[in-house]
Amino acid sequence: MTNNSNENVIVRTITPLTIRQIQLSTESEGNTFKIDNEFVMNVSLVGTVIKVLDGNTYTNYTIDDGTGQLKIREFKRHKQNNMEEEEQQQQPQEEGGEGENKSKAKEIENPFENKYVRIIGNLKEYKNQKSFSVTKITEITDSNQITTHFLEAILVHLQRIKGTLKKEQTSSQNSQIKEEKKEIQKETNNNNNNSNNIITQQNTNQILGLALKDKALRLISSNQTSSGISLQELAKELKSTEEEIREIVDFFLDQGQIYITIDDEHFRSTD
Amino acid sequence: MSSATPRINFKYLSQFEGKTIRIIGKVGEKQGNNVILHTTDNGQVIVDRSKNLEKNYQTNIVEVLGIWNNNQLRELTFFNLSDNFDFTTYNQMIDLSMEHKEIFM
Repeated sequence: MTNNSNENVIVRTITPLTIRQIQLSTESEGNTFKIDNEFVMNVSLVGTVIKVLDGNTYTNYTIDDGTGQLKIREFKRHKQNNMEEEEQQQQPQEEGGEGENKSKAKEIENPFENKYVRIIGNLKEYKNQKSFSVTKITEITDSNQITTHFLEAILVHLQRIKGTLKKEQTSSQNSQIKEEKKEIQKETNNNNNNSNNIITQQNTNQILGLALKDKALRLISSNQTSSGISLQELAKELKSTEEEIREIVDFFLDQGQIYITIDDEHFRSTD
Repeated sequence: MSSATPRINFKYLSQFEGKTIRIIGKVGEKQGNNVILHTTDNGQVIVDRSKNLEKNYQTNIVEVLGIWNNNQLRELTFFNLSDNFDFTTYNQMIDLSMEHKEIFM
């Protein structure tokens, strides 16, 4: 959801991205970024951790997702303020050119190093530079998530530049049933409104036939015994002939909604 | 800006001669310092592991990051992947990423 006011743009979705997209993103409105011409704030990435710099108040990771590399920062929840004052020297191996006083950051063995991770975070601007702050970082244990992430990134990218897909047609059966239901509704309305209305025998049979089918299916579905309900029982309950019931069960058997049990005169619902 | 290490499979290798790429496959037999990698699209790649011998593949399916040169992949690093990794969907994703290179490389 985007709030389209000029000053504060609030984007509540998480956008799956590639690092290349972040590199190409354009800055606008101070603290927000645009990718494919849409505002992004919360972002998900999937990549490998190639470097970890562990500080007192934050951990810096360098992530490579195959499309580029990105430095990201995860703030630690508990700050150790005392230690921050004592250790204000910069380590020679630190990189990044953020030349302000930092706590001593060391390279230590981190469980994410050289592993695939999933990152959720925010793209922000910090001292005129793009910075990425991590909300959550988790190791990927099912590698298919790598594939899905990139598929999602492609999908969102295409949706944003080309527009969403048209909704697919519902299965022909569904639409048929819907149309039949509409017809029944129309007919019953007509019946109620106009007592002089002559309904042809064909229409009546159509309507009754559909109603009978529904009842038959309901009866079969409600039968919980292992041998199911028999043809004779159905004929009796529905006050219909065995031939008519035979036609109905054949229809449902073809549709796969019921199956035969002990013999071809006993049926159970597949639900 | 850093460079990309594109994910590809066997059929795209010829387009990336001399480049650093990522390729996923099932670990095959070892031949000295080399290992055969059976790629997700049924190709076979010889992986030269001489620079990375101390680390062993820990899973049956791995992603190898290396330089493709003279019909060999010189391994720089690798990543262990889960055994349930779906090759078919992955191949399709690679094809799609090649169609939309603008967000991948």
